[in-house]
Amino acid sequence: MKKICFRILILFLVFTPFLAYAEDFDYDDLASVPVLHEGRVKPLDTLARHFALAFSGKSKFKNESALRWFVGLVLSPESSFDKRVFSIKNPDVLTSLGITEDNSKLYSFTELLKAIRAQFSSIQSIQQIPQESRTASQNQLVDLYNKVMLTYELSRSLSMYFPELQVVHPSLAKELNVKVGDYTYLELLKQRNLIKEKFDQVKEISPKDWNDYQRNIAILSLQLNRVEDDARSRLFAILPLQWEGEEGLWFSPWAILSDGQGSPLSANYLQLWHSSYLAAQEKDAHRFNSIAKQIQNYPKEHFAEFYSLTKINLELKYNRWDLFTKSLALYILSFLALALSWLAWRKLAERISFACLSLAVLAHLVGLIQRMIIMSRPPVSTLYESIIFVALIASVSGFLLELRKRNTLGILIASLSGTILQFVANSYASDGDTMGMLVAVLNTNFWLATHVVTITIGYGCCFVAGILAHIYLIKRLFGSSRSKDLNDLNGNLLGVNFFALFFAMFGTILGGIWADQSWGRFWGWDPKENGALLIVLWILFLLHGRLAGKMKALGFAVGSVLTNIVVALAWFGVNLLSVGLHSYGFTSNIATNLGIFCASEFIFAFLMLFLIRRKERLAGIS
Amino acid sequence: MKVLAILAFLFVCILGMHYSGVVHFDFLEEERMEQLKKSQEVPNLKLKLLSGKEIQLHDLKGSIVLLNFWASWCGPCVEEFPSMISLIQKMHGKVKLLAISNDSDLKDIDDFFDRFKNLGDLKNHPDIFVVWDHDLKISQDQFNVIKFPETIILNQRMEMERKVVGVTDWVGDSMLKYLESL
Repeated sequence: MKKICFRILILFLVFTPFLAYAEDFDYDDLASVPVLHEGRVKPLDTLARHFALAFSGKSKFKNESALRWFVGLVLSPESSFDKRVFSIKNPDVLTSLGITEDNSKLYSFTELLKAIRAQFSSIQSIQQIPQESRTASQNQLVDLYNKVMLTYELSRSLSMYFPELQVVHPSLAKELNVKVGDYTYLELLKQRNLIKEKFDQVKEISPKDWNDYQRNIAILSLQLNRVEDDARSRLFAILPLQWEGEEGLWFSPWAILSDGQGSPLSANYLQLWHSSYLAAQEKDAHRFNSIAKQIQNYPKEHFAEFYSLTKINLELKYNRWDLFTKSLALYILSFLALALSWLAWRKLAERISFACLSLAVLAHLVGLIQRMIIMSRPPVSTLYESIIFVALIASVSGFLLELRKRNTLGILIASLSGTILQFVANSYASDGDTMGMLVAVLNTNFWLATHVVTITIGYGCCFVAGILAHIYLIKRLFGSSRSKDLNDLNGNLLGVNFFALFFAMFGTILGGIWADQSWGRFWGWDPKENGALLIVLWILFLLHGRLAGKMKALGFAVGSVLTNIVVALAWFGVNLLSVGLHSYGFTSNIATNLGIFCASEFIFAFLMLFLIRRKERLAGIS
Repeated sequence: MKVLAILAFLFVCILGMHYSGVVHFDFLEEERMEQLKKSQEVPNLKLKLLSGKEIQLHDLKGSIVLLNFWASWCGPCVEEFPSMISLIQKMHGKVKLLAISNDSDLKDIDDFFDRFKNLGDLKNHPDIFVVWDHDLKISQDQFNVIKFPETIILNQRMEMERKVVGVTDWVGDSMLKYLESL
């Protein structure tokens, strides 16, 4: 037995190096390649995730990373076109394209292109309809069409190196001074004028009378035109400005060539990409990996003055760590452990729940700080960021409450708010990159740091007050109305409302000062301004009522639940109006969800009020 | 909750103070990227002139060099050529022309120069160097040039100062002033 084992070991040692030699394509080195997209220089990894998310709804695919898919699309498009990356969930869209529904709900570029070609005229006529007058499925169809076109554009980023021009007729080859074979656009560029001239003569003859020579000229000319159309491909902007020009501009390979931005530096860089294309075509992983390393280092060595390498590396870590997803998972775990503690193993489950919450808050906080550093701007500047920030405020407040009281109330608040708001935030991240550039009116870091952050803290406090009020009402319905716990809870509710008022009011006033500086007026009855004012007035109403004794603890709790509705309307609702100067947060397709949320909160508040009153009346409590 | 409120308030105050310039935190600051590139030295290419002589690009150090990418079939190249020649003749050796032809046939280059016979014996002019880039190794592979005319202006140290895309008046006041400033 020992001998057999020894032989196996020897065999293993002998063959291991050969097994290891089967090198695989390593795309990781390309992850940090800087690329300009939507006004920001970002790592290629982010760009790949952006498109993966926009196309499929997920930032990675089942069998491969977004980066691998993206690089494949640029370097060997033909092998990427059959991958199922386009998510279509609406059956009407599938019907209008004549595609059979697939269980995965994912479809490939090849099948979509075929379907779009067949339905091109109807898509064109839909495009003529103003967006607001189209049906949901028409909008989705146009959106899908744009995504397919975008994919095509990306796949043509390096088409100047694709050997797609065919010289098959020996006489033509002789006239062009080349051999019969396939050529790239750049290889036949010198003969371009000659080919065009020849095609002008061939055009005079009817196509049905063309001989092989003439047909080859016609096809070659069409192929040339097709590649020349790719000069419009600007998405893969991997090269910074080489000569004089507008500051901050970056160029795609085609743009470098056609805009006269070529230089020895750009030539060397594109040469590397060309070599990587050849290595990918030849399926030479070893060579590809070695070139990928050179591509990774080239911008660091030659374009360092055009972007921040620190931020690119930090963004790569942000992408890889994916802290918000991890914090969401931990919030859920924390809530589940807490729920378990209500059933069994109380102490242990509570400890686990608190540990999960602590890690969730930490991950959430670190993720937010990473974003601040990458974007060099305060934590809240888009709707997505405001949700993430409100979630953090609510979670931290729950965490601190738990540290102080140790009665699991804080865990409940933090885990619930963290989970709910992170889910809402995820739905806003599904369009792609969440780190978009800001519209000019918002691009003032001082005001973003003061007005927007303050008012968002106000939203967070209102949300915490809302959750506290929910807990208060449930406890009051199912427990005693005079317990110490309830009194404590009511005290907390009052305190949180005070803070909510402070931050909401302070934030609104700061907003007025910003508006005065930006638009020349303090107040303009803009929907967003009205929303902010409504929150302040509502909390003032509640606090006045409570402090003056006109409103009892129960009414105050019901009012605090309704605060959630006021905040939701001010936060998301006004964006549905699509009017006013606060145009940055316009959203669509959330009306139903918002309506459901408001209705459920309204029903909950008044149902609880009714049930608690009934219960206490029956129990003889005044 | 009080602690959170105080923390939140402090957070807003600190951010506000940072962005108003009262205090400064490096990690929040956007790195100032220097968008103006320093002039890069041109690669020292080995060039085979039309005359058959071989030179290194850096052999032309000490003069301003117009590294001109052109082709005889290119209308704008033909249009700007006389003004380019006029500049070379005017500057008496201070400015040299290195014309990289992208023609597919040597005969086309000869015909092109024949057309400009009236400007002198350009092929043998001491400040004009013509290279036939028959395999496009220089234009495409070294400089990423596919459209013509494009001209890179090299200073006396062979550093690439500026690129002129398309036709320009080489003897215009602004160009002359610029070349004088190099």
